[in-house]
Amino acid sequence: MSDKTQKKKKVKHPFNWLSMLMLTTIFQLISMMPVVFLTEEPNVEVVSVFGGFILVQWLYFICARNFASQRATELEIIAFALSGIGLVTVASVKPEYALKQFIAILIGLAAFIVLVAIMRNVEVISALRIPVAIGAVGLLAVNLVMAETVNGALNWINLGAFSIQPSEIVKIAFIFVGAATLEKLQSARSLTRYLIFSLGCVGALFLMRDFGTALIFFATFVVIAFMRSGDIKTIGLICTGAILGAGLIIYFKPYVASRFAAYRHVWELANEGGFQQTRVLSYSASGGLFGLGIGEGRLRHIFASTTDLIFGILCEEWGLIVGFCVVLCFAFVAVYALRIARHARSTVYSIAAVAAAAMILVQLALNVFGVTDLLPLTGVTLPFVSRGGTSMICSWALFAFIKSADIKTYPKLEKQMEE
Amino acid sequence: MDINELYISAVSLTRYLLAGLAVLITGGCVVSLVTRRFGSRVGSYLVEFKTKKRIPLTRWENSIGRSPTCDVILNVATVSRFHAVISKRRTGWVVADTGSRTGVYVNGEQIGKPVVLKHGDKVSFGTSVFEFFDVDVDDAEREAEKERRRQAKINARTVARADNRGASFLPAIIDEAGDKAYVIGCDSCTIGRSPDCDIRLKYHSLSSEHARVSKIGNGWYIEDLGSTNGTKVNARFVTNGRRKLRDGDIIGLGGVIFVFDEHYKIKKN
Amino acid sequence: MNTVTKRAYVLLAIIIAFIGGLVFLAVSFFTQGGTWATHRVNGHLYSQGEIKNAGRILDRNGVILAQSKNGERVYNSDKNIRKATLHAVGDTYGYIATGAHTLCRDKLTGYSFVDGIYTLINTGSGSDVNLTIDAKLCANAYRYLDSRKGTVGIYNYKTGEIVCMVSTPTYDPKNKPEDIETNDKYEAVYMNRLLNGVFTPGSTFKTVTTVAALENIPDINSCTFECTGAHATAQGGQIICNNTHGKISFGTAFTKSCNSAYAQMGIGMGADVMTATVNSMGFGKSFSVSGVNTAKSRFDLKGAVDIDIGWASIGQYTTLVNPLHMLMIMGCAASDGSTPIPYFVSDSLYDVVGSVRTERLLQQTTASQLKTMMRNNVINNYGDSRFPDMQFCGKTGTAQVADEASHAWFTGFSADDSFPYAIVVVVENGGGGSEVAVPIASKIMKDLKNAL
Repeated sequence: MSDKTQKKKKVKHPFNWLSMLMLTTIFQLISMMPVVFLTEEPNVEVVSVFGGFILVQWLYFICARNFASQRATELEIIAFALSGIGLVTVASVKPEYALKQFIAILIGLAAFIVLVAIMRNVEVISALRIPVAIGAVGLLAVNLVMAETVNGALNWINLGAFSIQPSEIVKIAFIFVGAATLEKLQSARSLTRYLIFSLGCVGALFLMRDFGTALIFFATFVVIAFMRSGDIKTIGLICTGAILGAGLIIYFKPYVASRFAAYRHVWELANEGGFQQTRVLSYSASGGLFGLGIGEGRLRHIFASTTDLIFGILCEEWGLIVGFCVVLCFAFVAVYALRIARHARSTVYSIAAVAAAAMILVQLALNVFGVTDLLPLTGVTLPFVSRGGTSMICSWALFAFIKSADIKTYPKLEKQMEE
Repeated sequence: MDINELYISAVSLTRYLLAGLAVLITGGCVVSLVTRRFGSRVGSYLVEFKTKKRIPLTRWENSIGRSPTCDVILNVATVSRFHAVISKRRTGWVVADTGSRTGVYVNGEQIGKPVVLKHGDKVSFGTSVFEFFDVDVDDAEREAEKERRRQAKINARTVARADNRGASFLPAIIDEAGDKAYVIGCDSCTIGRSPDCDIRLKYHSLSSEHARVSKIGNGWYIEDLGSTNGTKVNARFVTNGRRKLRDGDIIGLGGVIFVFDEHYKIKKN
Repeated sequence: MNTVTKRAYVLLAIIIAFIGGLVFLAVSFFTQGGTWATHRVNGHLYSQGEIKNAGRILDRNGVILAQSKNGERVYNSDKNIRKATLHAVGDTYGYIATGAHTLCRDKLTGYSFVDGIYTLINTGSGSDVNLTIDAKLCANAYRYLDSRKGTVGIYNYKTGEIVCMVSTPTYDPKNKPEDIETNDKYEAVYMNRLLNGVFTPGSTFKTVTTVAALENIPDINSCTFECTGAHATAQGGQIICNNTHGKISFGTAFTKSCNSAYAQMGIGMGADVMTATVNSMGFGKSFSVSGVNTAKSRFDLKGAVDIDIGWASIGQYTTLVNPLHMLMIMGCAASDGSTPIPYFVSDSLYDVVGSVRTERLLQQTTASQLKTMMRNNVINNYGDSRFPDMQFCGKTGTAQVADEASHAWFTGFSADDSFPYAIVVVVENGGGGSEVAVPIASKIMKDLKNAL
């Protein structure tokens, strides 16, 4: 063992999880107060969901600390803080949403833990690659056959009490399959098989008219393809093809383009195509830096306020500072993902972390810039914050990809390596 | 100030509190995430056979070839641009040929499928020959050595007492786990896979006649008999001539580890 | 694997693009947040498109022109004041872009970047907006216009404050007429004619041609022109004069408003010289009046032949003038060639802007010569009794428009230092300047004098 690494090991990690957790809890308690006291009588269900959420959060960190020797838990702090903001907002708009959202957070957390455990071992990833790919394509196929049309997009499957959005689950599979290259490091530099898989996913999403998600998949595909092959020519060709294809679709199916007619003209079409964007901009600006107070906003009464437009609610009721903090968190998680990818122990983790971060950022950009009219509005969710179970699970899973790239996540592995 | 006013001022205060806390939490996590330092660790070495130059392998996947984008760049005409990949898997370090023209050889045999590399294996890419050096195994050897030295000191006292009584001993090599001891019964003992050897060891990585342990004067010496995978004492190759053995020395025979116990058995005259 | 991890920097490109977008968004919030927050879609401020909760709008004497009461917008109780100040105050629906309701939305709603509209929601009202106009004076001007279309504008050329700004047609915001979109009576009713209208200037443009002549013809004061009742150009066509003046000097040509003499001056200078001087006087340029960009005056001699230049020199052809621009030229003539840009919202911000930003449209010597000529014009043509104790200087105009009655213009200023006001009156299709516009100007200037 070289001396250099020995020295690095001695550097104390500056992250103080306990004080961060306490700050987060205080933040959550303060934000929950107006929701609880909003009604004449506190809603028992909402209060217990809030209590349960804080309890689960503390349990997770105590267990992670003591039973899994987790020293670096910034990602989880961010994930819990964002989930908390989402939970409070959703519950303040409609108390009935609270329990479902909480269950979604629990499933998301479970998915996070399981995925981190699976990602420990590159052989397992390798072995699971083909079944996951087949499962993902199958799920989309099932979706196409039996999907229900919700808000113009055919991307929901109804399962009794819950409805799931398969495209969100396929997002996880997409990165999982894309990252598992292993021995193909040099020999299989052609992207054919992954290209076919990706085309299948993006094509299915197009048929479902879920253009936002299709765009996210495509961007992630480009990142993964570049990471794997470094073949700029082929990727350029694929991108050109995609742009041409999109152009053809717009040419032959003008209704697709008409969806985006309001782009950069929202104020002229304030009561037509620009309805949502103008409301988001107007109400966000009304909130100022510190917001009007939770529950005091008016954007909440607009359709899809808790899903696509939730960034606007954050800005109006919580203030621009909180709104931008939320978004900046993701940007810096991406910086972390980049750094960790540079030092990853295996290409699998490198690709997984970069792809997950890219996917989050692209989705975030489509959401935040979409509702503020810097990009066309495509109707995607804000990770962790928006209402929606599958979206929540997907967000946690994407963080798991980043988390598993950090060797500190696996203390035994790290110890074995550091000795 | 009545309760209502208090409530209103409290509500307006929370606006600032929330914003402040959000900045603190974001700041705390971000600073920690962005300033995190990552150590890198050498998992194994490729030791160039002629020059003994060590090339460290820090990643779990290392590409080898003539291309400047490779992790290990071998600027030799017989090496393909992308020649091979050495990767760390649960089974150990694995070398795979990535369609090279001149092939990958492990201990003299060309590989088709990926092959697990053992400590001390000889790997060739084209005409470049390397010895594979697994840091983990090497570390294990050193750990064991420390432990044996400690034991040897304790033994030395008992042996000294016995010496005083005029007794003499037979040495032995004991396998790593300590379950099997091979007594060196004569003054010049050959070790190897062949049944003609004095000590026959059925390990694949050993040559048929691997090494010889002999007594010269009062001391015991080991010499390599031109084995493929070499002989090591305390993690150093025995290259030319003999090497003196001391009680508790670690002997590596083609990657199989033994401990030398000079006073294993009292010799019956 | 090193190559693979190096490719991770593709993520850096995405991060940088994303952060760039965020910065752009933050800057947009900072610069445009006020407009967004006070837009009609904001349910905090508007109900069914109409502004509800906002601060008061007051005139220079503290007369309340608009205020919020119990979630309703209430205007001044005097119908004439409501109608006369409509274009300055604006409507609650935002149809009138030049009104304080639209211009000062952020101040009225108490919007600030830091607090948004938090104060409005918690205290129920925004900040007050003070206008520089005198509501009573405006009401008088409105009465004098006597339901004809037109505009009256008066400003203090030393400070830039607009004290009177009336534009007709107008309507009563309290009882908005049903047929406002269809009735010809309400043609372009939402437009503030003083700031955003452009009219053929007729003889008032001779002030501009005079300036051009003074600046470009060296011995202009000793020049004489021949008027035979019309001026025929070399390529044919003739410009009709209002009279046969015979041999006429430069000074007299102005007083008699001799078309022949002015056409000769214009043709003599040529299209390029004329255009250059006229443009230096602010033609083709927009001025920001309390945030309203005024309509550009137009003087275009591209491809014009002599006869066109001749017509343009007497304010016909394609020449169009914005009344406020004409008012500013008067202000410049009154005060050595430069004037503060007029304003009508006396917000602290606009105060600073109004008093600091000046515009030089004339040269100092030209300004004083023009002043003398305009002073003579008043003494000889309209009589000082029309504008007592004001040392008034002015010029009328009767602008011919195709197929309809002429626009009546009067523009002028008081040269009295203690009464530094300039005026412009335009009555659309009103007839002769001296018969229609001068009486209005005379009455309103007297009112102003008495009010002070």
